[in-house]
Amino acid sequence: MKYKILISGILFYMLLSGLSAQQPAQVADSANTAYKQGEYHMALKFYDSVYHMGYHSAALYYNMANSYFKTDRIPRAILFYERALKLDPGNEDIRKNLQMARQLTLDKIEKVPELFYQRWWKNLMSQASVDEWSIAGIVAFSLFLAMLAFFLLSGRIWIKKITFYTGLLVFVFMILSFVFAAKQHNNLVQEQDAIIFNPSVTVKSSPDQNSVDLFVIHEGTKVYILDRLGSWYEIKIDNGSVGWIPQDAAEVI
Amino acid sequence: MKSVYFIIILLHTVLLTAAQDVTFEADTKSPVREGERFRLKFSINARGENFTPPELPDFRVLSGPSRSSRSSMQIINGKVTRSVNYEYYYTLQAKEAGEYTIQPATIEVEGEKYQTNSVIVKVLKGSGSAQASPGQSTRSAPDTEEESVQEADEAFAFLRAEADKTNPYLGEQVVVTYKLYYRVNISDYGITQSPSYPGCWSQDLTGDSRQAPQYTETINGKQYRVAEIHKEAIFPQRSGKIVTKPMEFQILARVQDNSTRSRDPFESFFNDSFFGGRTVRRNLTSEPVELQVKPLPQGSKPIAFSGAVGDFSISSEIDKTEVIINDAINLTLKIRGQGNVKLVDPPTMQFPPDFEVYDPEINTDIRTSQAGVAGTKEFKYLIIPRVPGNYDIDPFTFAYFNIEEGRYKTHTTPKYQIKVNKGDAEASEGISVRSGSKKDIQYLGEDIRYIRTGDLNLRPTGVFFFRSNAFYLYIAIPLVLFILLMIVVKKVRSSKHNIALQKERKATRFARKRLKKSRTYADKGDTDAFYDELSEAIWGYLSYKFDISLANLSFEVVREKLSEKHVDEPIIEEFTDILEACEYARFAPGDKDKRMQEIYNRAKAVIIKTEKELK
Repeated sequence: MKYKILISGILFYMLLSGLSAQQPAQVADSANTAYKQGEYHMALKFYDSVYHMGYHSAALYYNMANSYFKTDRIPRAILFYERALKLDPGNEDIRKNLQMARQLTLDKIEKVPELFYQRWWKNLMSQASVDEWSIAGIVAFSLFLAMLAFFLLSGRIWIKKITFYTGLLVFVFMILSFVFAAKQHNNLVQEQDAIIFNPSVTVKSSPDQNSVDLFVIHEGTKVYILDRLGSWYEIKIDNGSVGWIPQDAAEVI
Repeated sequence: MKSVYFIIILLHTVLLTAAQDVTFEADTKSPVREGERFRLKFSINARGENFTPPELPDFRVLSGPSRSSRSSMQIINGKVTRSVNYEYYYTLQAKEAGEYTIQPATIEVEGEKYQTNSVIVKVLKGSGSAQASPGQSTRSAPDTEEESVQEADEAFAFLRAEADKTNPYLGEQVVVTYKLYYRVNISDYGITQSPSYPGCWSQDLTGDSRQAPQYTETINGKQYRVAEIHKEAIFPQRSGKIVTKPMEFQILARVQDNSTRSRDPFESFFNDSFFGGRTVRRNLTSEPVELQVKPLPQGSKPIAFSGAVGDFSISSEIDKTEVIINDAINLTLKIRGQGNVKLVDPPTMQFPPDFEVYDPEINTDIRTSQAGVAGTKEFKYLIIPRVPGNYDIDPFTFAYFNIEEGRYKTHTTPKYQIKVNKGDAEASEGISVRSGSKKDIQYLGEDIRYIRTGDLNLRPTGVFFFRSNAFYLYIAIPLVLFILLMIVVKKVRSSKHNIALQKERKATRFARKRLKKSRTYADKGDTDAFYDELSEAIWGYLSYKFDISLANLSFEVVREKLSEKHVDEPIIEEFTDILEACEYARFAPGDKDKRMQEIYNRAKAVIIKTEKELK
């Protein structure tokens, strides 16, 4: 009964996505071919049209970023690597290339060191994408219910003991999965990071052109948007400095 | 006391004036023309110290200050007069028209300070023909009309620098020739200051031979002998205007100088033509050479170009193409040609990474001639293959700029295929570098990782599985299944429980019925029937109560079942006691009625107790 629903659901989804994604997939294929031949500008055009058809994936963003990198548009490359990383946080290729692109930017910002548990937390979270965490959560939930059923229905003490502890473990894992999924989903929907696109931006003390100049950042630098006011962003950079920049100086990831 | 001082001072001055009447004078020619060379002379008739010349910002100082001295001795009526004359002179060149004042020079003679007069020099607008401006390499001879005494001095010998081209390309060879023009006998000469070429690399072409080429040339009707005293090839290393630093040259010339000839018979004797006249030391300065250096065309510049300009050819040689490992290969690369051969960079050869390559041995063989620099640069590479296999040594491309054709040219060496065979075990053992030792991976370059090919997993933007309908559905499904399962299990359990309950109820009912029956038997005094009925009641009760089939009923089974249900031991004991009593009571002596009554009560009590216990 359960499997029938599941399988028919998957089939329906595949049919639906298969029919509508056929064209973008072809365009993406020709983009890949152009990239292979070193026609990076051409490849970018194709990838861009796929993007504008309303489709995305970590792989698409990654390929776009590579094309931007090859055509020497480093800030754009960084933007798309970041976008790809948001969709697939655990991907090593994306991380490696993003790191290389970052080396080509001007600003050297000392990151405020994170506490070890924050690092672990982030590392753990980036092991899977939103959807992967969602699926993991559902599987954990099903397992937990199964454990609960065994616990409740079995008359034997040792079965009760085993199912109690595994059930508890699975329950914790389920909660974590859903928390991670929610957090990543929030990240994706909220758009709270941005990449600087202007060659050089003076960060102001308040959202006003006449306010005090605080510091200067350059293209390709990642900033965290704390607040929006009119055509200004309040931003924070990795070393913890905060200030205001005009909205058109940066592009939201 | 005072008078003593006075006398000493007086005496002193008298003595001085008696010895010499010091005159210190400045003298120069005025007016002069723009660009004209003229001489500024400070003369003193005593030996002076600490000569401080004036600042000469308005003129170009071509040479000086140089000093000459003349001394003469006169004997008149037995009285000896010694006269000395020192001259400090500059050769100046007027820069711009105008009137300039040359400030006085100072000198100390025996502690006294003397000052010259200041002189005024008028500079007229140049006629152009008189003196060439310094930029030009060729200079017309001085105009005879304008020739003054000083110029006559100069005109008997002058120096010229000639460049074979003034508008070269960056890196192109320019030959600069320094020519000495002279009309007098020159007894000796020497370069006091070598020319220098800022922004250029230079190569002396004069060589060891002091034998300078000589010929005659006529300038303005005057015949000069010309000696090419110095020749240099220069290679400009930057584009734009380059002005060389002039060469300074000193000659010792013998001149017939009538005007200054003294009437002194001794002097005239020494100065007569037998000795070839007076010997004069002259400092000559060439004009600076000005070059306008053109940059090389940028558009068609090949990647391999590294600055070679001229005419080159390239050849390469390899001594063997099949070797065993650890056997050295010599690869020689020769660049031959005319131009700045010396500046050719070592080529960037691409060798397979498994080859050990040593820095090339560079042999430069430069041949200089009057025409310029030519030569060969040889790069000898020693390559040692460390891993067997087949390798290609990529061709080396050498690019240079050909001036005659005005374009870049490239030459390429052939590609070499090298076969590296495994050596004998002993042979490779002898060399310690590679004998089964592991090597670190060599990183040759860095690039971003390649794009994801194949299916890109495209999905509509902004659609997530998380919190979608499907997501909730997949959460709901196991939950519903769980609930269903619980309901079903509960139902099944409860029905089972009912059966057990009914059986239990049956047990008490049965027990009650049988006990009642046994009671009637007891009232009748039928002992046997009473005990039969009673044991039947208990067995039946236990059978129903604990779901034991009558066939399996025995003391052991009952005991086991009861302890399984956690029935207290005394109750179990009681049951067995009563049952045993039923067996044996019939045969026991004593009051039968009383005993029946007692057993009946005990049976009733134990059943009630059991019911209570199992509630």
